[in-house]
Amino acid sequence: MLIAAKLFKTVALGDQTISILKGIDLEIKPGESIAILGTSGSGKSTLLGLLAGLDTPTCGSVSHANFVVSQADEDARANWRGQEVGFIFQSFQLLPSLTALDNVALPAQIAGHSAAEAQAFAIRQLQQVGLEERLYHFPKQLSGGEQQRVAIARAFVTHPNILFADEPTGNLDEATGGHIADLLFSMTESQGKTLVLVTHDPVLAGRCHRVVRIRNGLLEDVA
Amino acid sequence: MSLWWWFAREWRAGELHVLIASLALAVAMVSGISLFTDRLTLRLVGESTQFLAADTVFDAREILAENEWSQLLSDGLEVAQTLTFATMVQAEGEGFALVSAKAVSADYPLRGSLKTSITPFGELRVNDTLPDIGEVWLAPRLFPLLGVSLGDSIALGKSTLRVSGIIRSEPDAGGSMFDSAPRVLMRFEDIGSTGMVQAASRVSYRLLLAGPEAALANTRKSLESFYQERVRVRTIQESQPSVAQALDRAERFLLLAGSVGVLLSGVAMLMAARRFGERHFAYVAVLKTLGATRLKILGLYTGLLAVVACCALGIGFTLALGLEITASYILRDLISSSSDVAYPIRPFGVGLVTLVVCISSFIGPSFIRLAGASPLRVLRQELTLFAGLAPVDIALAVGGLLFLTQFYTHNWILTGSLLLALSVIMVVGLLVSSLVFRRLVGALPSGSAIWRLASASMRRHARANGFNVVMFGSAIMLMVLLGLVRTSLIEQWQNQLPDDAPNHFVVNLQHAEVVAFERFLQDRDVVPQASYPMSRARLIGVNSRALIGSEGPERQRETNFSWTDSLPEANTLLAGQWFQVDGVPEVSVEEEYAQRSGIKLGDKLRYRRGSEQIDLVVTSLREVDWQSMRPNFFVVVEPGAVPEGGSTYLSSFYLPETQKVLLNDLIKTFPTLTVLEIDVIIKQLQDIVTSVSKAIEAVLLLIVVAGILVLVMGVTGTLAERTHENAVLKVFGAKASALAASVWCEFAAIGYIAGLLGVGAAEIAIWGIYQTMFEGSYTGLWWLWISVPAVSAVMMSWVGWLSCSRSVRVEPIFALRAS
Repeated sequence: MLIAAKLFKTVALGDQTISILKGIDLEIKPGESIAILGTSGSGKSTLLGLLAGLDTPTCGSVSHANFVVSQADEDARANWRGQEVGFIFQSFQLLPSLTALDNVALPAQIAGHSAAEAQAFAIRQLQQVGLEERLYHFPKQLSGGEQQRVAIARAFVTHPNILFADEPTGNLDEATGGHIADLLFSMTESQGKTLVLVTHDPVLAGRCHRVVRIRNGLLEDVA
Repeated sequence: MSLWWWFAREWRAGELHVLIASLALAVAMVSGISLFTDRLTLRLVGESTQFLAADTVFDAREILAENEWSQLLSDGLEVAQTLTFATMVQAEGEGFALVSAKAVSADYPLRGSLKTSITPFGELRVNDTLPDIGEVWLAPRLFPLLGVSLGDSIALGKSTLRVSGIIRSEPDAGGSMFDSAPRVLMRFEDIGSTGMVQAASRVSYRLLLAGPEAALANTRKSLESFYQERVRVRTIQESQPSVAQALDRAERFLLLAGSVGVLLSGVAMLMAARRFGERHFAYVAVLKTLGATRLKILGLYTGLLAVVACCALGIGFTLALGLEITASYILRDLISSSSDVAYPIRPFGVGLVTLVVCISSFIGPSFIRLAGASPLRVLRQELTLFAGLAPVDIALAVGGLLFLTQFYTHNWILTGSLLLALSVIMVVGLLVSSLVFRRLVGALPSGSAIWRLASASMRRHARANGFNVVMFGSAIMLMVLLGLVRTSLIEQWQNQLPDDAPNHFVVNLQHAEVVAFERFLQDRDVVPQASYPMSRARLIGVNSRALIGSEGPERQRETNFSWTDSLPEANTLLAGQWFQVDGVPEVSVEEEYAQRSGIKLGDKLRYRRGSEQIDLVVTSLREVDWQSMRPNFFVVVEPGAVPEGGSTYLSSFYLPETQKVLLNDLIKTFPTLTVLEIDVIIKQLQDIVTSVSKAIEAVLLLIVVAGILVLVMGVTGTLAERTHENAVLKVFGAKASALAASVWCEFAAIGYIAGLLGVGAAEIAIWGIYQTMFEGSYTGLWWLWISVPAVSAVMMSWVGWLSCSRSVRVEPIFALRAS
């Protein structure tokens, strides 16, 4: 279970201090999919960063199983992410100097697998997302939808328990976005992964088991 | 993740090229310069050794027994002996002459060659043989004096020797400049049969050695420890200070030039590394998001840096060798070295140190900072790795620059001046840029559309432009500095050795001959320099303490002195006062001679000349510029303090190569004269100046390349941002021509401010350099303040346009898609 307790996040902007999160409590069960809705600047990406251990809260805690993410140092959080977490971003975040295959193999290599093993895992994932013909293409040679499929393959290659997706269809047209959403939900559900989805799209959010909205730094349940 | 895998991908992406290029350029520059100067020094020292006829010479006042020194010699050395002594020779036809006999062993000379002629004053020819045993070669003027011709015999002591040749010059004749008697060259093996050299005879013995440096050093140590005070060692540095000093100064300057080049490359590296760091921030954030730890990132980038360093080192060393080979090829006519010299290791060590410092100071910090980069960048794209220059970055970069400058020049004043100048540029540059780009540009009336665009762009890029002003200002400072120092150095050398510097000295000129001698030269359109009276006396007492014997520091010394009522040219008074009209017989002594002899200001010196005793009071100490190639004396006496009788005159004149034949007539007219031809030494000094000037030009070219690299690095740093901005401006109706003009305006302004700063800082730094390298004061050059900013503005706007034209020409839709 991923638990956020009394999460606060404030940032200094010149002389001012701005409170982005004002005491968020959230529990996400294993295998559950949850959408975090919110307007631009509402703090939904900040919350995702804290839940995924990319940042530390000003106050409060984030924990997963017996691991207190918010109190761990940067390297311990990196190790935890490598083992437990997968990411899908709005801007894909593929490394431009690596081929699709190398991009997908990267997390497996970081996790300690040999290059050959990592490539074998990566080929399997790329086949699952329908990109077996595009293994040796660089990101700039791929369309937006294809790049996001590579990102999905990369997110699944180490078999993480939790997937964080930040506006995964935000940079795509409606049809492509729909295909990507289908792929993401089908893979998540078939493999029993926890999905934390940040979006401002209520339709996409509606495909999750649970929807919460962030407003004025606090969470509220959406029916 | 395999390092090579990672490197190969980075290499393909082109990110590492600028880093490797700037590192390789720095390594190539210092290694190439060191290699060039080291090999030039080796070659010139090799050439100069001909003035000693050996690599190292041991002087003694007695013949050193061969069974003693032969056991102390290291392996691989060539050996020769010479013995010089004054004696009378008699011809069969009853002619007598006082001569300076020089007996030489079979291998003499070990370096250089003898010059002879077929007729007494005929054409000179290089000769690699010696008189046979039982034969002698005579100086030309002995033929008329003795009334002999080739094939006749002369009596020397108990033996009779056949005249078989005419000796015109020996390579090591310069050492006995005042040995005015004509030469008789004979074989060492004949000394015994003449019976002329006895235990107490006054002779000058030399043991000549040539061979590998290590063997020479070992032998020197052994011989010095065995013979102690009985021998005096002479090497090229000790016997040819003018050549040694010229080389030393040349090396110092070239290394200063090299350090400037490295500083510029350092700036390019710093900028390239920051860009690399900024671009890789996103990569690292993704890697960290995917689970990579700091240690893993650090290992990855350290490994990458190691591969970069190896590539740069390989390329740099290859370039350095290429530079040296090219320079040697260009200068092959100037340096006619008979034997090639080895490649020393030191220059490669200098390159390696440079590489390590450059990586630690300029590149390393950006790489290390990547390890601490926040993974949050994947969500917040506005995050940057570098928010301006951090104090620790500045400290490391400046520390690296200072270390390298000190490492190359070994001169704290120079290093301090550069630090001061760079600090001025940094502080003033940031202040002025902030004032101009933020306040002044905003306060100016808006005017035309182009100006509005340019001023808006300047305000938007105020921080980047401030950084560029500091970087370009530093580059301009270094280039101005080097240009000024180069001009001063070459001018100073040329002033010291003008084309018409006296290249022939005449000694043993009699008082009665001075006027006739000067008229002789004037009649042949040769300008005689001033003639100096000269006398030889022996120092026998200091204060009322008598000096005894010829050994040890407290020994009697034979000295040439002259007298004049004014301080000679190329002399500087260090202590005391020049001669006063007060009835006290005064003497002025050269400082080093005074130190060696334990003489102080106010001491009373007692000299003996013939049967006379001369008492003099030391009233001044002088420094003499021995490089001036003018007649100079250790001891100068007040006129009237010494009776002029018994003195001869020393004079000098410039004789072009084409008029050398005039010397024959001169010696025929004045048979007692000895002419010393120093045109070879002067030619060598002039060759050094020419070689070094050309080398400096080559180094300046490399420095301009480094400077342009800095410019391009700085300008392309903001290219992506500019492309996006221009696309947006085009969407809203801005014309490409207006955007282009805006780029020209903005970069011209940056160039102008950087130029002003560069000149100001160069003026500060050059003060320090003049203090240390030229021992003179620097007066500013007003035209620099006008020309340099103007040229800099033109250069900057041109480079700015070349780099940014793509951002102006790009179709807005592409740029917007890319963003």
